[in-house]
Amino acid sequence: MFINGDKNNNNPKSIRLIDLYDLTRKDDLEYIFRGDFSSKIVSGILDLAKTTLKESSDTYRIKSKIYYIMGESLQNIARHHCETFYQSPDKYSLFAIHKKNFKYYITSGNIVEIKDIDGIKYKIEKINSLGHDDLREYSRTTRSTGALSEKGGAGLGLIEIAKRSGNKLEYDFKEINDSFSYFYLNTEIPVLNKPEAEPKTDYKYSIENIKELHEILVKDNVILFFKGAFNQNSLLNLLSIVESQLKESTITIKIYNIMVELLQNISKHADNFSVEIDWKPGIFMITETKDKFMLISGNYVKNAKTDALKRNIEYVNDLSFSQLVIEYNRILQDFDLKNNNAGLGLIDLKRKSKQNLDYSFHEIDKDLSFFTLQVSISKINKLSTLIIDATEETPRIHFDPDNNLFEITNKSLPEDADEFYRPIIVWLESYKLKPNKNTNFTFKLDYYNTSSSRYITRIIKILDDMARKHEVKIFWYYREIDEDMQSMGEEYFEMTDLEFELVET
Amino acid sequence: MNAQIIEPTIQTPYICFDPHNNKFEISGKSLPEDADEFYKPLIKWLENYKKNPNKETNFNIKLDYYNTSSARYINTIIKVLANLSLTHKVKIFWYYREIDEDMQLMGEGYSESTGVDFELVEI
Repeated sequence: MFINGDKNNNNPKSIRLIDLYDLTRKDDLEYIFRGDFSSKIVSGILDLAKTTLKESSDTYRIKSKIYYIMGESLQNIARHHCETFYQSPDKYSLFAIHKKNFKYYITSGNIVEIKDIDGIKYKIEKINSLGHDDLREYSRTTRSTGALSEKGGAGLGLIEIAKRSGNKLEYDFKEINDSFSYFYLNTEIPVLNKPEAEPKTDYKYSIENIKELHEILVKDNVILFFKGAFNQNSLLNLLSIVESQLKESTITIKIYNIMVELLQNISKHADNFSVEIDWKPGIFMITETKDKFMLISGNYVKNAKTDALKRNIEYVNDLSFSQLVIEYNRILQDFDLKNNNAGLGLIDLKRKSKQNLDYSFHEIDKDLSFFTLQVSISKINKLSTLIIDATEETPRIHFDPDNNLFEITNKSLPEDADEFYRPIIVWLESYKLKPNKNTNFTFKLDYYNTSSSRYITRIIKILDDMARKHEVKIFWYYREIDEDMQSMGEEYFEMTDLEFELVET
Repeated sequence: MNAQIIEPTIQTPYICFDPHNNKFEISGKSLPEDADEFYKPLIKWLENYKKNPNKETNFNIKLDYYNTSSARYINTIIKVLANLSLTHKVKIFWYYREIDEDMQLMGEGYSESTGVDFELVEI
């Protein structure tokens, strides 16, 4: 339901975040987390909840109750945590908290073994059959008889959740395969004293909703979904969750940096849908597939600002990577251009992700649009092979690190050498960061014009830099009859300290 | 001149500007929402230090993360040091984690453009 096919969507490839927003707006959903629950993540999620709850107008008593039940639910998930379950993302656990019509709902979803289902059902039914006072008594006896044997502890957690919420526990199972099933647990916590006769249907609707949402999250590979107040505190909490979820690597450092820019962008520049709230509402999510991560933010902007914002993004998307670096430095130097802060953020997003930025605007009413910004980070950090076939005026390029083959052959007479060589320089600059132990680089050019020669010098300069820490050897081929090419080679040979071999053909 | 030492927080870096012990370091994370507030006094301190600096200044930049609003100030700090290097000996050490290619690239950019003695250190 989120992919493709809506005429309002500027970018057909992007996930329809507005749909997800609509879906969750029905429920005033606060946030959802999907992933592998370690204890570090649990504390990160609780901190985030604390930050989010701070913004709400509920009493301290309600807030601490919510906080307590969240803690129990999360521990319940962590307790069922078993390494073998979690090898694939489709078995990730789910945790969600949302608020609707003066009620909080706290929902967990995790994998359990089918053979345990009857035991869990029995425990919950037993708890649900007890009235308020009986439940207190049951809690006391369970505690004192030390029924903490193996998964007995989970029973105590459930009792506490039921006791504190003052409501029955709602649960459901969804079979995954012959051995495993999802176990959903939902708790409802009223904010106000409500009438005893509460319509059961409303309640049911909510757990079904979470199941539907869960399916969508699995389908779109969403590992983190947050909707709520965007400020520096929620940013720091989200960062700590992501930090504990993802093992530190080149990619996760990028994710971290990109999150900072995306989220600070919301907290600085987003608009609000109502003058009554003074926080910045928004959405942030991370999806993970086999070959990439996607970081997506969504927030409100005034329609009056959308054109300028679009222009800004298009401007950054049109810049080549070397232009990006120049532009980035220009803005850095130009300290007075305060308004360009957003521009600097956008440039940084493209620099670090090495991809163009995807975006969409969804007009909500005459004043406001919902703006989404999407940044992809490829998991394949390894440099791919660069092959460009020869044309009448440009050489054949074959850079293949895996096979340790680096060749520039034929002739180079392009009218616009910048256009042809820039991507080649960018590729080599990246290769320079993690080069092979030995690099043998071959120039086998019949002709080249002066504008190409600047780039050939540049390439040799990069190789020269690389040779400080790695072994690099240049092979310079020239035809026996071509004196000029021979003397060029000799000049380069003298210019650098590189190992340089002149080869007559 | 008094040393300027600021303990790190979850969003601001450790600062140690200590002329007596000739130790100058910025390390950790720099993600403040309002970088002005944090960095303006530091720039002022450095401008003062420039009036009466040590013979030799070794300046260590060892950041794990910094946001774009901090980037402006890192840039300013390097500019102040470049200026100081016209009259005194200055060396900047730019540390980066091996896996952090963006930090490496930033350092390489600076080492080419500033004209200060600039050393990249992989950790």
